[in-house]
Amino acid sequence: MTLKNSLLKNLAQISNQQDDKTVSSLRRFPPFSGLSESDIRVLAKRCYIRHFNAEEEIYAEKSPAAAVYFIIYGSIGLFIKRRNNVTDRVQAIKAGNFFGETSLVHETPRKQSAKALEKTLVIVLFKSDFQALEQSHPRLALHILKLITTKISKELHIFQTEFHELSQKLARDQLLD
Amino acid sequence: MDMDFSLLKKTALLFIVIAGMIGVSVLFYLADQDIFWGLLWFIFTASFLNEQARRLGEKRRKTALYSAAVALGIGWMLINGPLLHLLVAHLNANPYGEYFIAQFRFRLLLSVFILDVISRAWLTDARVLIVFLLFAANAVTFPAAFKYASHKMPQSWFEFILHTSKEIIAELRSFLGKSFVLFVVNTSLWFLAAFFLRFDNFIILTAIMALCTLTPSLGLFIGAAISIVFVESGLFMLQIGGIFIATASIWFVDFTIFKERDTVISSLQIAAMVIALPLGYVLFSFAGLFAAAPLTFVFSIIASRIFKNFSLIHTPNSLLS
Repeated sequence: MTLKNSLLKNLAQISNQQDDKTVSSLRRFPPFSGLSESDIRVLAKRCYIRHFNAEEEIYAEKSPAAAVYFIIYGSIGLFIKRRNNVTDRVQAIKAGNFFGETSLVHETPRKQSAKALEKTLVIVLFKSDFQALEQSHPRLALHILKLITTKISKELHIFQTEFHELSQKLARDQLLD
Repeated sequence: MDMDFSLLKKTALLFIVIAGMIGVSVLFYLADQDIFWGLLWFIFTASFLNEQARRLGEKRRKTALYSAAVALGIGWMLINGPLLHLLVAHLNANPYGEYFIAQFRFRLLLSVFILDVISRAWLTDARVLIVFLLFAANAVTFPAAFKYASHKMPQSWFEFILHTSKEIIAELRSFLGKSFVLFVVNTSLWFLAAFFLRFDNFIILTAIMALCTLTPSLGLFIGAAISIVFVESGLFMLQIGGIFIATASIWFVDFTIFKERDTVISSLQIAAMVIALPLGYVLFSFAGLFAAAPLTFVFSIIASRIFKNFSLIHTPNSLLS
């Protein structure tokens, strides 16, 4: 009985320590600075903390999109495998940002693979936990969705600008020819 | 459910489903009966309560869960004993009138089987204690243990294990929660129908329907078909007509209010059932036949999720070229 009690006590203690570590990590994440203490605690209960060494793979290309990753420190790279089996880095993402966000809103396989570029600490929020948040804490889920929408709209803006510049350049080249 | 499986994967899935069912059978024979049935009662009630309380906020959810647990506890204390005595007395009396189909042996087998199921699966004092202990463990220990285990997982398995287990738990909870609602609704309505249609064996018909409704989509019709065996010659028109009207009405309630149409039966589940039903009957007689269909659904959900997410397992540093 004593062994059982001490085991349960230790388990609860370890879990609380994990939650506290996640809470302090989430507080260091700039997009969550506006969240209240209780919201941070609720989010921490749903999140998992993971350490990755440099060159360590976080997820593979074409695997099901399962979770969004918030980078607390370090940086990661997104990679695409080309036809000739060469892997190109398409993006580097630094601390204070997140990646893998489409997993929360869309059921598609990953378009890229992700790998830590240096020693990196991430907070992981799985799709099913986000769906549970949507129902139990809709305001918090909306905050996360707003972050995702802002990121996607910024990326879309960059893409549109680049596309516009490229098509203008192409038109100019055709005129010169 | 993802249907894009190759033949090899489908075969592997079938093996998982059959192996899972054999595993449950082995557990049934080896485990302590109170623990086995206590665990089953816990799984069903926890799925039902969680599914109903899911939409509430954290604080309201806790209040709703505690209130429901207290209400279920008081309800159980008030009706459990008298109800069991009533059922057993009725089943032992086993009234045999003049039946439309003269299948006495089949009816006797069904009656003995139902009595056996009721006496085996009934929620006794010991099982209620097990259910409450499991509820307490679920609230306090399981989340902590889950988080602790996740911390120890290797990177390459982390996404697969957590995502797959979360998906399986969510899908099974929804499936079992809905099964529990249908079990209560269909059984209550069938009891009223059988009672007012003046079936002598209305308790047996209710118990058969209770078992059948655990099979999604098909259970109601299987239960109604078995009920025809108990139609009496003198009340043929009333009882046959009543069975058809009751089946249609309950089907309407299930498919409009409780949205049973959301349960899609995949080709894999049909294939698994084709193997599982005769296998269940040969190995465990009626019990195997009734348990095979719902177990097929449970294990096909588990197997499909494992296969869908299998590519989440990755080798560390595989990007290094």
